[in-house]
Amino acid sequence: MVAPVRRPIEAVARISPRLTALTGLIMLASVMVHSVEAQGSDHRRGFWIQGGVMAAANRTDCSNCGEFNWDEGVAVFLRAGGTISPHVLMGAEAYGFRQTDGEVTKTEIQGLMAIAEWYPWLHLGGFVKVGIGVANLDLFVSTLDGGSTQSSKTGMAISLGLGWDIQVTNGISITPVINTYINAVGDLDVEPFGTADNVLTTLLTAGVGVTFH
Amino acid sequence: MRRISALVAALLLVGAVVAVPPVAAQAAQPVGSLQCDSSCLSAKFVVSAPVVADSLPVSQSATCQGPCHPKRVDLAVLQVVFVNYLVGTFNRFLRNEPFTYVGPETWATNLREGFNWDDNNFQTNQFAHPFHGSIYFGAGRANGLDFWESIPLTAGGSLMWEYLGESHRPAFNDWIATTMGGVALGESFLRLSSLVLNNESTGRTRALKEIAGALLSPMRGFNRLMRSDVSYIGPSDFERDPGFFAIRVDAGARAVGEGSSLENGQTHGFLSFDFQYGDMFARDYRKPFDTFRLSVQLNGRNEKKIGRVQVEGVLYSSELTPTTKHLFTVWHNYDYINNDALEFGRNGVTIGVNSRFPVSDKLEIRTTLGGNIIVLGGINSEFVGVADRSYDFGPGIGFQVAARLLRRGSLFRYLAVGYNVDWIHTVSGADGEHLAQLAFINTSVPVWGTLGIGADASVSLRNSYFRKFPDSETRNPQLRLYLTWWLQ
Repeated sequence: MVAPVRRPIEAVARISPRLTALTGLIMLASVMVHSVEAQGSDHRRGFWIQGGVMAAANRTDCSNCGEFNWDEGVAVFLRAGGTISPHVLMGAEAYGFRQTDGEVTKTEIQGLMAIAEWYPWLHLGGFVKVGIGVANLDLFVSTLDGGSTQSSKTGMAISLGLGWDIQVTNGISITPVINTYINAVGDLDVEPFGTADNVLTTLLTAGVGVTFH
Repeated sequence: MRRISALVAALLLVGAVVAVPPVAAQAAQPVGSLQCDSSCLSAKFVVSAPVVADSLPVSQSATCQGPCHPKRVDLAVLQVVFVNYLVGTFNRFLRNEPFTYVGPETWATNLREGFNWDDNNFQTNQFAHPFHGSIYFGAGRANGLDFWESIPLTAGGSLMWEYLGESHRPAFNDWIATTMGGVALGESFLRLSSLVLNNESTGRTRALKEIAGALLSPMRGFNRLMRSDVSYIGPSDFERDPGFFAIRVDAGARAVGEGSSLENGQTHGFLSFDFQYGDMFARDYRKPFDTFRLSVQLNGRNEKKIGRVQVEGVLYSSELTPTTKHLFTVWHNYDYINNDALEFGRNGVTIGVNSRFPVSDKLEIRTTLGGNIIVLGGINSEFVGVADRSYDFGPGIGFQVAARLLRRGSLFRYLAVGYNVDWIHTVSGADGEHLAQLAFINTSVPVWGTLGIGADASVSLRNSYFRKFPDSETRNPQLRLYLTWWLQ
């Protein structure tokens, strides 16, 4: 009795994984649409907290450096604050990025900033985020003797981001986000190689978080 | 490349024509018959109901008088693209600037390599870019976007220019200055153009008003022309009464010295304009820049003709006491000071308290106490090390205190004293810290009617503490003697 029911599903999955993925996407989209229809601005009130993990690519640049590449790594963020209006949330964001080469850490960035999240549509979960604050850059550079030196500098940070709260239950949302963090730290002494002038990093991230309103 | 330019221009032109159907509908109506009361509004909106229903806020449809165009985000974006195209074309074909030779290769390179810092001169970075940003901002405002909605448009327009409009890499400092300075200048000039324009004017007066309005806010002028608002006779659909408005024009001589005296300095003529739009104590203002101050100083016999442009636009204020004596205020700052002694630019926000103390029936004292957050400042420096650039960039914080003795009602300034201090931490240029201080005293006396005489004395002090270079200190006293003309 069971076999006739299971067999077609298994067959479809085996024959067409793309179709399965598409079906999954459609189901996810329908859930999103349903949640979008269900959610309103009333869940945006009072204290809120949001956190998540993001895939990230960072580019560290300076005036007297050679060409830098985009380095892939992992970033995390934690935001919290208060609701100013159904359209505007304000608060603080802490974020961190780490890029490793095997077991060896190459770059770390930590930032703390004041942020505002603007929801242009009252009944939808899409928002734009802007932030300004400070960031610290740690560069770990391998030396010729097989060792490593660490160079650190703190400077300014500005962030722009987009996100969408997909409400899953009252007061809790899944929040896909994309962000860019521009971190300008100025001159950085990289021993024993010299000084990197006007160092500026561009960190691009995309990930998913959870928001508690 | 010329073909691509022509194609883009043609597409933009077609887009502009397609995107303005309300113009045709409006232009077809006889001029003078558009006294737009509620019935007129209903009739008008029936014609373009599909657009209005989606984009016009209910509150606007209920209260708007005049042409009352719906919000058009698409047009605003299109016009920002068109502005960038025009600026690029102008720089390429008339000025033959190398940086305008752009294409898919430079776009790909810029997108791959991302932001860095540029080496343009102070005026280009701190004034020309904000002016460029004011055009973007004006495109948003002229198409019905509000103050806040026009900010992303300005930032986006700047990003487009930086990544796609120039062959060299996008400059982080340009993006900040264009966006923040553009907002300050754009909203200020838009508000001033609202004072000049009047939909009820006719004839030569109307023509002159439209020209003046377009000079102040070019994108508004362009849109008024495209929508035939320039020939619309009827109520104005924009704020024409700020509650208070005054212009102060000062003309005279200005001596800037070095060290502790004026002996080593130079003396030049100057002409300055101060626009006071709104009075934060007179009304319960709600919208950003419902009250602002714009100051412009033009220098004579000086290579830096535009010596000073400053905007203080109130973003938010609330009463700390029920008698409106003390107002908690957040205001947007844009500062551009460029003379032989000092290059100082600042884009930021100030949070503080403005207070009013009545002295007599005719006099009052107003004070300002505020803390500055400098998102990105620029200040001259001896050891920049970035090509020909003469100044460092960095964020910072500051503090300001000022007191003014004013004539009640007209706000004519008899006496003002103040002190500003800003600390800037270099993130591009010579690694170190800058401390910029300014102390000033101004006095003016009415002599005959709206005319008076005035004298200002100020001292600016810059202490720079470099990590790898010797510390430096500059001190520049300044004296100004002038005739003043007060228009209210």
